[in-house]
Amino acid sequence: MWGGGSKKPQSGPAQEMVQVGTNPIANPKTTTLDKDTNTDRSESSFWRSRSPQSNVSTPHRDGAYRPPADSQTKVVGASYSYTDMLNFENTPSRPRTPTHSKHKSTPSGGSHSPTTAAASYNAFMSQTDDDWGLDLNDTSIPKETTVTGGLGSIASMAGVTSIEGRPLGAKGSKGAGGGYEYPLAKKRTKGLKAQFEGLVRDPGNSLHMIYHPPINTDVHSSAEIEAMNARISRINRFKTVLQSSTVDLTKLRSLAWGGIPDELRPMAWQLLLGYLPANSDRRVTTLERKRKEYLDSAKQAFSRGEAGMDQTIWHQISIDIPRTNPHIPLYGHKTTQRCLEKILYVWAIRHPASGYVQGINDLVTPFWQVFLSAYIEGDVETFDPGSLPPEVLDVVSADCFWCLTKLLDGIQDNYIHSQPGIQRQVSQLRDLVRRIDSGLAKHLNDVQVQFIQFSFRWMNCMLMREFSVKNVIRMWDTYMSEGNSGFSEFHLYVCAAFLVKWSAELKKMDFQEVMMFLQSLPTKEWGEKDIGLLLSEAFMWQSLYRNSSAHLRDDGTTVHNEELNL
Amino acid sequence: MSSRKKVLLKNKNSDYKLKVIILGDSGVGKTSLMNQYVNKKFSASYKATIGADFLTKEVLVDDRLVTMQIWDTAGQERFQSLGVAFYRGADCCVLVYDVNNQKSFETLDSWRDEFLIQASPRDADSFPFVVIGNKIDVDDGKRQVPQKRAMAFCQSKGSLPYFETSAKEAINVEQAFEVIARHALAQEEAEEYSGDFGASTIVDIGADADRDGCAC
Repeated sequence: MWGGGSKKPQSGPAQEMVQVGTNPIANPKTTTLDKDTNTDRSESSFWRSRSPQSNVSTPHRDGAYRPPADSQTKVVGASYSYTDMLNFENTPSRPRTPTHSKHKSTPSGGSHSPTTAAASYNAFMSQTDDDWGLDLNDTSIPKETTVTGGLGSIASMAGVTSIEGRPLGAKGSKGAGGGYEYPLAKKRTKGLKAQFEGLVRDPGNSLHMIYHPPINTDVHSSAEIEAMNARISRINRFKTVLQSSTVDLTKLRSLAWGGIPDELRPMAWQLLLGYLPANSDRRVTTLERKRKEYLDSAKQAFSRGEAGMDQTIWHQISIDIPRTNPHIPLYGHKTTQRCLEKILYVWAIRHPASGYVQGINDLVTPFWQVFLSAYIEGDVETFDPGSLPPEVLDVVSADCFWCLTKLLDGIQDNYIHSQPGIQRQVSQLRDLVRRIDSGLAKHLNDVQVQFIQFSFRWMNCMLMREFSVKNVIRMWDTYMSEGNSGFSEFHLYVCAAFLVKWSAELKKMDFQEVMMFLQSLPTKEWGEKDIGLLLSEAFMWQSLYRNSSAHLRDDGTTVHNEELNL
Repeated sequence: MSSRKKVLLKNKNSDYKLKVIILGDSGVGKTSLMNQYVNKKFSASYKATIGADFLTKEVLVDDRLVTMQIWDTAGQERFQSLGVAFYRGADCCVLVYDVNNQKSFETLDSWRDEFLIQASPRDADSFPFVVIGNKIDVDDGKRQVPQKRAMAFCQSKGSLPYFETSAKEAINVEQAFEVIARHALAQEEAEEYSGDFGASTIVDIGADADRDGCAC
């Protein structure tokens, strides 16, 4: 789609046009049309079903813009709810992962049938591979879009001009190792990437902004060169998938399971969560619309000042924001705090069944950090976003809001009254540990440690209190690759793998020691390798025990009394 | 339930293990109080407590070595359904409010009721509560709850001990917890002498004694 100029829309359903390469703001009419047609299939669109206070009107214009065939019952595109994806849930979509050597004897850990994957993939794509606004068979999809893997794709940027009228690639120079340097000139704000305006419009631009330090055999050791080459080839594999005019989400999942390169993570997460349309032609308009919706909601929510706000929710958020990741400088900056409290408040009032619950403030931070990192150079954790242009902050906030919404939509019952989702997960964890490490389960029982006493927080905060944000971000690559069940189900196996890791230590401890130990686990030094191993172990337990017991099967939101008796 | 805990809470190292629960609205300083008492530290940047945190401290009460097992709970109302998992077997309950926050004072009564319902102590009327008004270091102009009013409340609930503290400046924290320890110990002993003959608890005692290998 790069430099493709404007596409002539087809007649009929293709009224929503996407003008690539021109400033989309010049087409307000297009956006309006899109919004209208989009609302047609809103029945199970979580944006709407979960958003009673949404300020988007939803006139039902039946038949106006239906995708053909079986779309009457299916939700098209990123507006799928997680329930729509249930068929996909059992589809193996992650790569075979190395299992810990000590588990090598375990059968069937990590093997998949490619046949079922392909079959379910088609079924899945037919439901999900699009944005909110259009169907998959839309003939306006540009067929000429090239799928160029590799770093040579700079050529495809030749026609793309930055706002300043300077070709983005103009200053790029080929590095010795095939990498190129992107233009660093004309920085507006310290740390802000020069090409931020292109990124604001379409995260796909990030694909052309990856910096590879030139490889120099005089400076770098052979091991370093090997690592650099491995990184480049990994990035290229991602680029091949991400550059496609219609991103193959199954392929993306299988690549992303093992971790996403930092530069590509913002775009990959947004695709995996179904926020960014897989179809590249829909991205600009979809993002514009969703971002506007968020900003309008926020404006409305804060329009009457504090007096017009839900005092209980606002009080809780405003005392929690200063306590969110206080050890990371990024979160001490006022700009971060104002943006995060706005995101949380808007989410809370749009989800009255749960409202704001402590712990959700933790869950927004990986998004904040990852999406912000797309626009800046250097370490995001020490960055002061105060100097960023408001448009960047708006866009990052809106993207955080929608992705947080997507994530929470999959674990809604964790935060509603009495938190049945968490109660169920804790009970499942106990059952699972009984099976995979009966000695540990017996010991915990003997010293009268209840699972809820230590694992409630694991569920409520997605282990974010146990790991650094960086490690959590890596974990989320995998969670998101697990499809809709990543945060609700795969997480359970991660918790189990995490607990049994300390089995030997725990078995020597009494009640007090167990509680103290589990509350400050020695994970400070954990890095990507440790997380990778933990995820692999979790994957193995999931392969072995998923669907193997009625206990561990998700039975909806019903929580039986005996399960509550933890 | 209380008998179950009793067997558990007695161990070889110290004469008694006393279970203390800290309750109160979000942000009144429960975590800070506990950390000031146990670790003699104050930090302005604790994360919000989720579920409950656990800390212990060994203290001498009239020559008896006791271990305080302190549960610092989350203040947000949504977590109240968790109470039963943490409150059971408590020997003392500490109710904390922020003297600069009227609402946190007004909710003390419901925290107390909630505790009594979920912990279901044998004798609700005599169960020891201690009330703490925290953050007295904040300047006087901001104070919303006069001392008189807080004391009247404590009086009306059965002469509950009352302390005004600053976890930040370590004012009165040690004194408050000393009283908490005494009350918890008294409660523990009272339970021991009065409660062991309840028919419903005999099975529990037997089972737990076996597990712990500790004769009661």
